[in-house]
Amino acid sequence: MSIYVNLDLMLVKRRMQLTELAHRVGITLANLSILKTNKARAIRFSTLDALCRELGCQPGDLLEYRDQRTGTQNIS
Amino acid sequence: MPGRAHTSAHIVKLWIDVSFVVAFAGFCLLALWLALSPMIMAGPNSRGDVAIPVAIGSRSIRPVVAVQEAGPASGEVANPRIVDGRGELRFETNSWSLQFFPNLVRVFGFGVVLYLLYLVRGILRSALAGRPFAVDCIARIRIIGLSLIALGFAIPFIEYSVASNVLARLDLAGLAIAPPFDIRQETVFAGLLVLVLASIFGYGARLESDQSLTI
Repeated sequence: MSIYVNLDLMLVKRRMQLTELAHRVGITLANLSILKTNKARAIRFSTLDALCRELGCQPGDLLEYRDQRTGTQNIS
Repeated sequence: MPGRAHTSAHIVKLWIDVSFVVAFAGFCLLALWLALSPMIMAGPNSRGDVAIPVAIGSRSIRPVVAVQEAGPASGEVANPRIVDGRGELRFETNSWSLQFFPNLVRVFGFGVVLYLLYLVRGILRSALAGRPFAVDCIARIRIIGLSLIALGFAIPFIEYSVASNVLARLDLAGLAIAPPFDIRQETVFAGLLVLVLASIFGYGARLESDQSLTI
């Protein structure tokens, strides 16, 4: 999958622990960990909405596309 | 699993469990008899039972036996015959070697039934635990399908070779009998259906995986 979730970066920026975010968003730590380690296949809008609300960011701040062939961002 | 389906699954599991115990007991008894048969049949008056499938007629595939009309021919019926007659030849013998292979095939049959029941029990256990689309469950369904297809083709060869071996040693008169050779079409078809079911379950497993990895 070429879509990466920059959750750890946002957590560092907001100086927040994963457990605290899980508690505030209302999803389990295990599911948040799946999201953080890029093992998730899909993300619900409701989850994205809650994450953006609690982290005070835009969906684009959390999600990033990286070209798997070059390993870099591919923005046209 | 909904309440009524859950109850049905429990009833089926109970039935499968009972069948498994009965088949296991039969397997153990037959295997024990087979293992001890050289000693048991060494006695002067001891006999063993033999049962082999036979085709009624002189051919192995679609045997035909002509039937005579009683009394003078009426003209309404011509050329009456029995086609594809099947039966089981049973006899007692004091020859150990004569009873060994038919009973070995029976033990093998019990073993296969036991293995299939064991797999079905595993599937039901997964379903009752709320994991019908588990990977091991799908593997079990696939093994059942492949086993049924293999048995559909293997059984006729085994039956034919054992029956022809036994019939070659017997000198029977009165009725023409031959070793049967029947491809088990219904078994092969059931196996194909089970394989289709396995692929549907595989798709279900992918959907479940997608769902569990959707955050």
